Amino acid sequence: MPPIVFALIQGLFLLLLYLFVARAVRWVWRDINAAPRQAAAPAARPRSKSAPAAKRKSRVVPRELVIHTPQAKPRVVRLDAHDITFGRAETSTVALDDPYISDHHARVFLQNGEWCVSDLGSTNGTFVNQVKVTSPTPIAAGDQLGIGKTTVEVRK
Amino acid sequence: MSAAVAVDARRRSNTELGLLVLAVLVVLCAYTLVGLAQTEAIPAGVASYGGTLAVLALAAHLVSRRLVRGADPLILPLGFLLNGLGLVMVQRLDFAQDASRAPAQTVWSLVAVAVFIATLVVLRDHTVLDRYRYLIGIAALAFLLMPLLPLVGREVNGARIWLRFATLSFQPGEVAKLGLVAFFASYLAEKRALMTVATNRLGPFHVPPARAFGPILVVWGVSLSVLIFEKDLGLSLLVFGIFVLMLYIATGRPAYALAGVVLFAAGAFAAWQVFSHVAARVGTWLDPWAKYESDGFQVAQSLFAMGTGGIWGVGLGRGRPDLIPEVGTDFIFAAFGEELGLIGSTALLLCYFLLIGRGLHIAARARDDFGQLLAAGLTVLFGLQVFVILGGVTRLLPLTGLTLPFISYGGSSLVANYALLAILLRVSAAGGEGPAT
Repeated sequence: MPPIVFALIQGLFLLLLYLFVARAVRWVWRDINAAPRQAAAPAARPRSKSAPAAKRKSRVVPRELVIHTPQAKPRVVRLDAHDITFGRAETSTVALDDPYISDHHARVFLQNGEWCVSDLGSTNGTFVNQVKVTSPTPIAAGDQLGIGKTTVEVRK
Repeated sequence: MSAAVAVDARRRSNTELGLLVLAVLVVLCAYTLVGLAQTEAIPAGVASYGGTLAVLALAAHLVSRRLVRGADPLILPLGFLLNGLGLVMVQRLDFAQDASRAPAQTVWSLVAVAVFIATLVVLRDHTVLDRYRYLIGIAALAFLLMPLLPLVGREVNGARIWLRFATLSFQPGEVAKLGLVAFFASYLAEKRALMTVATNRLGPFHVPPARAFGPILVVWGVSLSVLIFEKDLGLSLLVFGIFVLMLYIATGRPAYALAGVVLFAAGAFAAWQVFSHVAARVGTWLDPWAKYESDGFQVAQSLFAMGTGGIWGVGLGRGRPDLIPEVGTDFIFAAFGEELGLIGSTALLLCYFLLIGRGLHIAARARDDFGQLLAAGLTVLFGLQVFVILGGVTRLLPLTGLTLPFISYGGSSLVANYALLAILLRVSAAGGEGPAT
């Protein structure tokens, strides 16, 4: 068997080995980039396709929050002009016992007649429909707020 | 949305299948190369070998496609590729050493894939492991200490870590590691909040109360007793390392990591002073050439082998791996270094990195505390083992006898690692993917 055959097969072997690695890396790359996009899709799509759809959605004024914690039964909190704060501190409107939640974690408040949520500099962040909140963000019925391991459902 | 999730799950399964096909082709190429180098002909068994591999891969894939829909598609192909390359290398070493270990390793691979499938079939929900935590913990401890029993326990090469029933020998420590990770995960998931609270002050730092350091001391004691009574440096290091890292992952308190390092340093220093075999390992690490003829021979030969390989390697099947003692188990990476060179061994390393990266990704996406810690712990177990043995072979660290997961010759390790993959896939399927509820 001429040595060139061995060299060729060795080359083929390395090529296939690196093809495997490259495909795996490409998949990881896509997975990492797809994850936030997928999560943001429901919120982002109407806004980009047609502005009126987004407006219509935001007009569904929220009237109550349903707090789902991993341990306790869901709790309903009415939205009535007062601010609602979330946190581990006893003084919070909704005090939550969860190691992932900061003492003063998030606030839901009325701004120009619109209910908004803002993060109070928490360690693990506040999420609206799985998108991290960086500035006061308007919320509408049907949204889901993520605070630590707790999910807050916004209802009309 | 559920339609989109189903499409995504199918796409993941297809990715897995595609990668498995590639893995089979890579292994077949390697098998052909070894045959060419050793017998100057394309091996006659290449078709049946490929068939067996394809059937194994397909069986594992079909079960994972049905039972862990939407789980990570890289885990199984990466494990399978490493397993296949290990098989080829064990067979290649048979030629060099005139031994016959490959048939046994092939049978163990079949058993390991069967265990992978069985784990997926039996373990439909990983939280079951959480419920039976004390049973698992006690069983793991019993497995860990079992080789000390008379009659069934066996001492091989100075380490008493073997069980032997008639002709069948087994290292129960390999399975015990998985049980310990499950127990630690369950324990830490429950005590996480308690152990995270930092009430005491130490200078400018907040540290947890002294009571919270109890568990770390207990595990330290267990791992030291493994070292003293079983003389197994690697297992002892793994048990302690896993616990400290999992504790740190669970609480995010550097105080525990620091305490772990201090305890480890104390234990390592004492072992270095007291045990001659530990002192010898450290001595050959610092200078393998000083005792080239005796203690340092193995590490020195390993370095020579990798140096001979250079960048492109001497060609699979064309080196002299038989010159390295224990090349089939602890030093198998040196054989790859010689025959595939830097380029081939880098690809192997990348496969290990990818597997570890995916494991941590699964942990980060898990929805329950237990699943998160379980996935993180299993990944740490796998990663620490790869790091410690490759560090030993390349003289980055003192040598600690551990198997290189999936590649080294050895059935217990292979079976345990396939079970590890199955549990990771189970956690991956349960959490993370799809919209939050």
